[in-house]
Amino acid sequence: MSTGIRGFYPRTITVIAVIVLALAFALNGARVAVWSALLPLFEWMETTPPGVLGQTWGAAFAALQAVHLLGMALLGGSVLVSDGRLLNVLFRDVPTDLVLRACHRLFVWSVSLCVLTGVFMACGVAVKVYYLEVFWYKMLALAVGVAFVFFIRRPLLRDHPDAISPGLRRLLASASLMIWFSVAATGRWIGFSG
Amino acid sequence: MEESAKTGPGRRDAELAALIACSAVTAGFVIYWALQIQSVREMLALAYG
Repeated sequence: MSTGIRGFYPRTITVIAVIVLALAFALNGARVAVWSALLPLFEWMETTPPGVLGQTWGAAFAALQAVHLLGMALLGGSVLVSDGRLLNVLFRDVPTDLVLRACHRLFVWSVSLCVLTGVFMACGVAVKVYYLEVFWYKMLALAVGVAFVFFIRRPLLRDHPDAISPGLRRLLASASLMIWFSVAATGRWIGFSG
Repeated sequence: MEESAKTGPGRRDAELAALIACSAVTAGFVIYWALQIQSVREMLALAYG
């Protein structure tokens, strides 16, 4: 640890800076100012072709929602399998890096599908979700989840995932499950806030 | 080279960053869901006594 204090640790410093900035943003008036400034964007979203389609053609919205849910199922599956392997409860007889590599590919495709269909769905109900507090928590959880995968989890597990300590592996898997549980739960909550 | 990739400063940096990020995620998760559960309990108490 003494080497860590002396050395230059860019990733660690970046993580600390992001956490401090996020807390500062959440606890001062900037959050409300940004939220207010975003209203015209959400009003405009409802006037775009996907927004008009979502409001006037229920079947198109339902079909898109079905694709979104399929994407969520794939995303959830990739997260559960990779975290289950890290927790050493699933696929124990398959090498960790093989499971993680396959799950990461599936994760990238499924999260892309969910974001794409999610934006189209949000266009149809943009002003409604704008006023839902839980929608912003979902966006926050999603952003944290994607950043966590690409900037924390993947760089650490890409090479030699078995070299990191079992405690850190469990911590990574638990944090990942917490994030994606929150994304799924807040998403369902938006659905119930009709 | 192989050993350096497993234990070098870059690796320690990634591990420390992961430790801090996981701690922040866990704290945020516990606080958020504790507040949500508390607010639901209050609403249920208001509705049903």
